[in-house]
Amino acid sequence: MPHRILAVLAALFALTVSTPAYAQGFFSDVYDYWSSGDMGEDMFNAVGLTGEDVVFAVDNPDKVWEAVKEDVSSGAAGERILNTVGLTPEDVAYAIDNPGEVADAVYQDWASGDMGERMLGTVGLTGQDLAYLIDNPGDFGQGMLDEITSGRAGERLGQFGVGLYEGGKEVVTETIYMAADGAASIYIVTAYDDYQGMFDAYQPNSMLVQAYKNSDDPGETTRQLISSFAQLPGEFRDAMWNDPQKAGHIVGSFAVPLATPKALSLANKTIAKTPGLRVLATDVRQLTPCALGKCPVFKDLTAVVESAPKPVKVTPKTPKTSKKPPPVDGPDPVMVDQVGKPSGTFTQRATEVPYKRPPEVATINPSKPFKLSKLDKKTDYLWVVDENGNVLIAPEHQALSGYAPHRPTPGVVKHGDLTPGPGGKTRGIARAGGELKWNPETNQWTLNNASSYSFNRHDRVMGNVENLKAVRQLLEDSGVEAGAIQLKNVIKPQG
Amino acid sequence: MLPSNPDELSALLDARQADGWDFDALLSLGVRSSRDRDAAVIDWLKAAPSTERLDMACGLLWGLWSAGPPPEERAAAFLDASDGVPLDTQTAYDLAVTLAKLLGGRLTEPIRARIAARMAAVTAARADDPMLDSLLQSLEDAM
Repeated sequence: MPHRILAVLAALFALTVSTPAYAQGFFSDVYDYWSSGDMGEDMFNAVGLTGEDVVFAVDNPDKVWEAVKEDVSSGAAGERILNTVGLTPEDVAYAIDNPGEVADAVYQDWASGDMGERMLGTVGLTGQDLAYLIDNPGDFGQGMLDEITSGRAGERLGQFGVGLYEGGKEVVTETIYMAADGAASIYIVTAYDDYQGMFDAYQPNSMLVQAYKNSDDPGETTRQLISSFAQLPGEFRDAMWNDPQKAGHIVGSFAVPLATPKALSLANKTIAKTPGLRVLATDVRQLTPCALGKCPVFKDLTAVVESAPKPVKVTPKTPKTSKKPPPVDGPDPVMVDQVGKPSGTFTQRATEVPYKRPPEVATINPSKPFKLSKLDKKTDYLWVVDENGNVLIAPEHQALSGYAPHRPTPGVVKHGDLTPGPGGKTRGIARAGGELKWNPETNQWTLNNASSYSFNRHDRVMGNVENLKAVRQLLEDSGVEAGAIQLKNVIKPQG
Repeated sequence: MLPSNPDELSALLDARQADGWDFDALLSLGVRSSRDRDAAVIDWLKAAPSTERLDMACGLLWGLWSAGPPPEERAAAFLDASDGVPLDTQTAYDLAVTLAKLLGGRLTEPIRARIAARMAAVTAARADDPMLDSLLQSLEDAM
């Protein structure tokens, strides 16, 4: 799927082009994607459904609807959604009572560039991709230079940006309302002219759920979805050349949903581990909590399972197709080994005992994806790779949460806190460690190996740049933007 | 990076001592600096020996010596500078680790014997200090 997503971003660049040759390739790509059925499968997989589930749903609409109804009426769905995105019911109530403030927060998020950065990460663009696009302008038509120098491209991009903001904002706002309403199943499709009308005449659930609710024809839902997507390429193509703002609106509407398939996948996998619990279709967006200053990155998603009340059970019956669910990916063992062997460290400080996990720490692996845009550029972070190959990242100072007040520098987090030893008496075992800091000069995050887990190890092995490359690869395997991190080896060679 | 000028280095460490310091930061500073700064660090300790200064010096020396153990004359200088410094739980552990690092170098037998004797004295205190015992146990497990 990443190359499809990349194609969406490439379309942004195509806005600056007067000839549509590249765009035709793009739409051909999208059409093939849709017509092959891959798009539909990816959509369902993103929300934790398999082909078997869909077949069952089509064949058993009554059972599915009963399950949806129970999920909604019990409040379980709403609570699950709120937990997933890191919001409390109080947050939602506040957002509903203060829509202007929330809209301002979303605007600031957009205007600051943070939203754009997340979106760039969402579509999987790498530094290499950008370099290629810049080095190969011929791919985008002969008119590109003229468009740029004349200012037309800038104007069109500006219009596109406005639409992008509008589309993203609508998704965020509707998600807040839907989550507040306890919607069990959310599909947000905003690429239609009458979307604003639909939004104004707000209904508790999305089009998909409405179809389930209101139609006697169980095939209506599928038809509605297919019809929606079938219209999209044509609408988008026309808008690209005639109405950049609308094109931006369409991209904005979909960029937000694209931001979270991995997070959703993780949530669904976690929930799926609970016997009898089945999420039919959940689609919660990353931008909502981030706009409210509560990015969900540090939420432990196991809490979703623990807080989920009565589970809803839907058992597939006589499936007509079989599609294996995607495997639960763990860290690449080869890469984990390249990070370093598990080792303790000679650095132990009596005044730091007990070593313990700080309240804010992200555990990152392929099934717990991560985006650098969730980090605060004004904050310094510590990282370690634990024995199992998870990358743990935490802010270095957490005094505000009352963490470790007894230490010489109250609230300071040490690498050993991320991997504490038995009883917290010592810094424990890790494969490597270092710092992650924003470099304003390069506009990149810098990953160094300034940690006792890299240069004061029990096994006397010294860290090197190859270890750092492996750490960066582990992060990239977990969804971190490729090429977004520069490496800095602070360890001098042995001699 | 630690400055090459001994006076500047001494002034820098005096300022750190006065303003507050972090062991990991000193260790990291040592790792980034040239190993030959160790002589000036040892001189700084020797100029006004104290428990706190020994703690700070150990952090720096661990970093400086991360690229390899020092020559014997530097090991001897450290033994001289640290001799008689009152030890608390932390500095006793620091000293034990530093001594262990020194033992990784090419040393003559008299120096090895001095290190061994110092190590025995340091570790003797563990019986009355559960925290030190715990820290030294982690060191022994690693050796």
